[in-house]
Amino acid sequence: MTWELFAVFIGSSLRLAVPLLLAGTGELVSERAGVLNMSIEGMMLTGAFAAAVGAWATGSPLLGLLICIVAVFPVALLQAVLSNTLRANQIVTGIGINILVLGATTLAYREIFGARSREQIPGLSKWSPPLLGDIPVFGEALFQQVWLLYAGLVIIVLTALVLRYTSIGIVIHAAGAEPRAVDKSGVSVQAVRYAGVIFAGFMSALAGAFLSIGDIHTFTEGMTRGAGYLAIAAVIFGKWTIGGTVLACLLFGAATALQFQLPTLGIDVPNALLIMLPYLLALLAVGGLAGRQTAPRALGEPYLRR
Amino acid sequence: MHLGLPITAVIAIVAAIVLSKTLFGLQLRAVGFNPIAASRAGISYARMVMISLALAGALGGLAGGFMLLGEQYVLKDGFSSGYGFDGLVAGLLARGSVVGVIAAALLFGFLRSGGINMEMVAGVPAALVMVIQGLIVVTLAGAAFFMGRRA
Repeated sequence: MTWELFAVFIGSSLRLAVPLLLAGTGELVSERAGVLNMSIEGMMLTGAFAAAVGAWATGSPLLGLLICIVAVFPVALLQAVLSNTLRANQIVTGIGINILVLGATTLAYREIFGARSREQIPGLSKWSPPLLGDIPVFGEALFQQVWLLYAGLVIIVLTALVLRYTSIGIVIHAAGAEPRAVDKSGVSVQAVRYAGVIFAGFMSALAGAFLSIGDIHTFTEGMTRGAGYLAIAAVIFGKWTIGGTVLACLLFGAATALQFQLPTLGIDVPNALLIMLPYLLALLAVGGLAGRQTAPRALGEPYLRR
Repeated sequence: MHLGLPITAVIAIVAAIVLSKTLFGLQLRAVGFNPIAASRAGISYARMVMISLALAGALGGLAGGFMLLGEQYVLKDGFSSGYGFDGLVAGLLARGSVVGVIAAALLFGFLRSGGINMEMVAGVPAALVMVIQGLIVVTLAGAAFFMGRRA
């Protein structure tokens, strides 16, 4: 493998991992707070759709991003109300929302663009950090990326710091592990969990926008193709730690990038096998091969104040 | 109609009887209600989970087999087109009753076939069916709260 190809591989791994990283971080916070947010997929799809339509209608990708964040909010709120206030089964509501969003975006897309559209949608601009972008081989392939990628990485680092070093982080962890203790200490479990789900919605919105106006500059029906479920798998793979989740997302990104890289290297591996790879890794992780499960103790259990 | 329908009906009846009238069904439900109490009573949790997952897998495989051998006759990638998720939701909404599973499955089946007709006759996109289905699932899941039970 030449250095150029290797640089392209690293660059595209990172690019493909970013939606997973964003959504995975959101899901991690939500699960840490005790809500198993299965609707990540639906939130990403809403985000991708709203960003594409917003950018197309206003002609400004930045406005598209804003519209996307606003559009995902009600979806996140719906999930939050169902899983906290109404104490519904979180797997059922998540899948319900995913079906609802897949139908709604497909319907709306056909109404707006027609069945097969090749409409160009304005995308987010690229940016390369001053010094890093000038590195000979790697600079162009690795650091010439959409600005949302850098912004996303900054948000992930900030999230990690908040989870690790602040009282907010402690409360989030406690809401998922020992909600009754949180309640007794005078903090509302519901508020923490609502915030967790809405944060997951915000991150999924960014992830969706990255897919549609950051990466390929168009929207296609059901374009997330299970990325949301993969993000949930990444959280499990990463044993509910932010470092582990990030590593898992990068691994899944690299596995996806391999699909496009191996054929150019002349290595003949069936494509279906490579598409399988991230899911296979996730399955092995869930199967306990990556060590013992350490899920937040109250994960998926709605809190009932007595 | 192909042979799949009567076989499915028979399986549903057998499943209902096994779940409600046999020792195995009792043990299975006990493990689901309270794994710790069930273990104390000498029921192996791991064994029950493995048997039930194996049975679920077998029935899922049978569903795929019926779809291919009874209707489609062609193996294409992604031929199940979301039926698996529909099945999962039907099972979850049924809250442990076989009658509930049949009702939910029929509802989703009618919706799907109605959606295809709707698209052909009235030109309404079949995606509308997914919207309705999603709304039904979300509403039913949320409504459990008002019925004083957890779905």
